[in-house]
Amino acid sequence: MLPKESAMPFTRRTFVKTLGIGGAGVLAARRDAWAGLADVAGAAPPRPLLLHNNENPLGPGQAALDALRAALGEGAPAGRYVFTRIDELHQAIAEKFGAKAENVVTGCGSTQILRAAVQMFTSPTRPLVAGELTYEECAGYAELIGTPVRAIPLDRTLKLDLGAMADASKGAGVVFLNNPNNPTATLHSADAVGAFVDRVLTASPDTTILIDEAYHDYVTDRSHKTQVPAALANPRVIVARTFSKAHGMAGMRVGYALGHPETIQKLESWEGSNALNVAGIVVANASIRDQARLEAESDRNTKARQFTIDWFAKAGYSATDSQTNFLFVNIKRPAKEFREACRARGVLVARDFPPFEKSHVRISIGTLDEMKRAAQVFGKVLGVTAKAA
Amino acid sequence: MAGLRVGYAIGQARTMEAFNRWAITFNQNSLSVAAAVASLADPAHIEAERARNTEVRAFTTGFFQKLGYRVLPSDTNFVLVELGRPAKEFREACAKEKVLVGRDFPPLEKTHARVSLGTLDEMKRANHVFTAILGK
Repeated sequence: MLPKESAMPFTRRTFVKTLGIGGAGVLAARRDAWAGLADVAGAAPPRPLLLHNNENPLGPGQAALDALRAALGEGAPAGRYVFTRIDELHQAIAEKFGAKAENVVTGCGSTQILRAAVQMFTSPTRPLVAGELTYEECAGYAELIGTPVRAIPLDRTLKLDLGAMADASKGAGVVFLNNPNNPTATLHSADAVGAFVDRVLTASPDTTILIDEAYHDYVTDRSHKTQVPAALANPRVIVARTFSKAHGMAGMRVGYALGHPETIQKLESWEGSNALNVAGIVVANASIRDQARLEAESDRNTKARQFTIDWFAKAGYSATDSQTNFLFVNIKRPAKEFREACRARGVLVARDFPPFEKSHVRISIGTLDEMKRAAQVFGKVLGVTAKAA
Repeated sequence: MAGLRVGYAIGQARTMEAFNRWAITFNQNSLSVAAAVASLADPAHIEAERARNTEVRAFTTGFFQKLGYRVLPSDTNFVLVELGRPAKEFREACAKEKVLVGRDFPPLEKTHARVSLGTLDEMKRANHVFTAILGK
């Protein structure tokens, strides 16, 4: 199986394991989990900067948290199964996109959605087409269930090679398009994606095009548009979204897909929506109605992102044109070397992303203040002089 | 914690590794994990909950038996009652009175109904409804 997002020095898995020790209290367990990092030599801040998993540094908005407290302030609601609450969330999502509840399926993060799509629409004789390099969830799951993967190299600008992917689509079960793309942070315009969809559907009418728009809310390039309308109109197009990024809910595990009712029904039949937890549902339901917070969060990210891009540019390092909450930077040295040096100074950046692990690193965008602190560490690690920094 | 969606399996490490390849644990959310960990550390609460349920179960079982219905011996938080009539008929009559009982369980749907246990106070209220329906 391909390496996963979480295959990191400090991971969800480590955290869960730590929590599991002898039924210790949650707060105590959390302190234990941090302890391993505090032991790292030279860790200046007491808590490391978590710039490695493309999370939201602020978490959910106030309105969403208030809704959570109101809903779960007493114990009883958490004791009930979530059936009707899920219907309410589907309705809220549908309304946001001018769709109907039958166009919506939810899952535990986009992870579950992407897996359901690979499960339902690929097979040992109907491969997955995916970029090399893109978000690995689909390819990793395809490998697990015995679906062959056609890995299509990026173009010279580190963008997904839409032409080559379309060429490879004939007979495929699913073509996976992460737009903007993780980990390269690059975007294809709405026109380019529309032409790609047409081309795939013409070349291979039975192929499902799975478009993952996890980072949609962080895009500032005006050539971008969501492909949700295409998904609603065409049974062969699915758009996946998540509450894990701009909505700040990575820990609450809520993702969704929009599509034609037939297609949604197939996804629903595999994973169903009953895996969602009531806290995630309540927060998602409030968060999707809080457009002002979403916009504020996007603006906050744009400013912190620009600061970081500018810092690297001044220091002589170029990043791709990021349309996400992370950068893919050419640091002209192995990511591992940079990562370990940063970690020793209390800043966590992402794991290796072959085939670019000898030159590029992925850095998630925290708050502006966090990025200023991180830049000081990057400066030391890269040997950047004070005037450049 | 039904709404928090946490379950687990225990087995040999190799078997658990096979489960984990499907990344089942990554579906867990942070709040539920925190609540589950805290709950595991609170065995006194489980004891109290078990005692509460046992009392309510005895009360409810006794109630149906007094009305002349057989109740399968229950070691759970629900009872399966032999009503001698279709579950659907009973369920719909209860629903009109705002008491929800379990769905059909073929092949016993013509004779048995599953009734989950609430608090003692809730079961007392429910029994008024059951009496009115079954007394007909």
